[in-house]
Amino acid sequence: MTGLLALFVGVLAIYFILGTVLAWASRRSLKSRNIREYYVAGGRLGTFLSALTYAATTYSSFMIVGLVGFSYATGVGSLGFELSYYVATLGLLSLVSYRVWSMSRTRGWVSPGEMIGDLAGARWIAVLAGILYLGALIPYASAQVKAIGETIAASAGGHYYLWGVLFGLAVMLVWSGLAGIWSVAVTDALQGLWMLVAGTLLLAWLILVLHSHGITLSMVGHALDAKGLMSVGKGFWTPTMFLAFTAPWIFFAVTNPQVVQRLYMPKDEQSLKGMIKWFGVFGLYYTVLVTLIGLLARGGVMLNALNIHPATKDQVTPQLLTVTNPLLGAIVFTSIIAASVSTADSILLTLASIAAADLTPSGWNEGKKRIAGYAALVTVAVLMAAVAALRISYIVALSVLSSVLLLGFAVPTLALIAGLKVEAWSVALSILTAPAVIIAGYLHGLHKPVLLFAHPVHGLPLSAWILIITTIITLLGIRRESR
Amino acid sequence: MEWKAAALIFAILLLLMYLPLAGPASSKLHGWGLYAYYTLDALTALVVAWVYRWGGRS
Repeated sequence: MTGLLALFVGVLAIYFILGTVLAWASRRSLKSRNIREYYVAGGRLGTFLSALTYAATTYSSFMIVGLVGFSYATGVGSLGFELSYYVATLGLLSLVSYRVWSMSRTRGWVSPGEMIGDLAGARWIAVLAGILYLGALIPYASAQVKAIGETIAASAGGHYYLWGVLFGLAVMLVWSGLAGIWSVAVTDALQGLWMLVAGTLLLAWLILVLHSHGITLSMVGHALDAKGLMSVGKGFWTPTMFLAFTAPWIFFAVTNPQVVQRLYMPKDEQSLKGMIKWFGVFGLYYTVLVTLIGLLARGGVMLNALNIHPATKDQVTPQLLTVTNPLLGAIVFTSIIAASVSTADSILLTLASIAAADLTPSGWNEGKKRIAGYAALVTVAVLMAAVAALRISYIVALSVLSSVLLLGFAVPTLALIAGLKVEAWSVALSILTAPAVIIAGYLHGLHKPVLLFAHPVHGLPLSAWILIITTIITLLGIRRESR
Repeated sequence: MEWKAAALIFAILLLLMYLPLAGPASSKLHGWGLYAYYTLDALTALVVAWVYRWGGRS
């Protein structure tokens, strides 16, 4: 083992030991093993844990790897794309979080499917929602495990890929299994802070490198502008492409079960407010940070201050790690793994809660549901690792589709949260719209996920069509007495 | 602030993210100015969320 590799493994070991100690200690907070306590902390999380678990679950390794690469390759439009998600999420959280949080306490919800089924007045809707959540999120979570394998393989050598996947599987199982959401939340807090510190240090290093070459921010701006990277409307960020990228993410806060479920967790109104506030601060800072890293790295390469040659967008951050200070490289390397783990184990626990709450017979008692949840936790984790171990490239592309697949949930979920009485058939048709549109697109020759994602039909991307169709279906399904 | 006013402001802030894509705005807004524009739009959303008391009832 080389000295550099030993350093990377050493920092990774510190992260794993620290996280496991915290996860073990969090068992004291677990008051009982009933499923509401295990999956949503019985609604007893404070501000600090609520905010950091929301942020760390939301922001995966897409940020420090994908968005850095996107900014590097496509320019400032990446900031606009990611901040569109941010503005929409802050808006949705401000408008609907209190209602969801208070109803979850009075109605005892555990899973988001349970919420939709309860509000639509039909348990079979919860079952249907649960199946769709599983179908949409297993590829997404597998892509996170694959990212762990790829990160380790990039630093240690390709033959370590499988070890990386097994490491991811072990961390997910230990950190989610020890105390359910309590161990996930405390490790998310550690990982969220690690991501912030690592990103800040990488940006500071990059600024120092540029400064030492006499390069100013203005020079970087002019160099990028000359390549068309500091404007939008043409190049990569055409209006259609911008809409294709932003539309699926705008409703992320109400379509993705792992974040919807986090609205059930704050212990009181102050913690709920604190969660939104600190998520807002985290999200804005982290987005600005990672896009600046991408833009400054590109400027540094163009002005001959940096010597990296990424062949693809996803290679920008791994290549930066090879030219930076080794200790900083090890810290950032671990932050990539932390970002993947914090998203993957949160999704894993949410999917297990869906299996326990929505996919078990309604007559089952707490004990049977608890066992079903444990079985689902292990089964889904192994499935995620197995899919990742196959190392098939289109898993990442499929994961991109997960938000499109869940987009059909947006309009009926918002209508139900707003208190409108929506017929169960309308909710079912809406949430099945996205898979149907994607299958139709596939049958019409859009075989690659990226084409399904971005291809315009009559000038609009499929995601925009899904929103239009589901709005019509939901409007038709609103019962007269609630209009 | 009433919820309808907050919803309208958030919708406008979201639409403003798309404004630089429009032809005339696209040629005028570029460079670090565009970077600052996006960041200020998001920062305004944070302020609006604060004024709206972070989604809380009181």
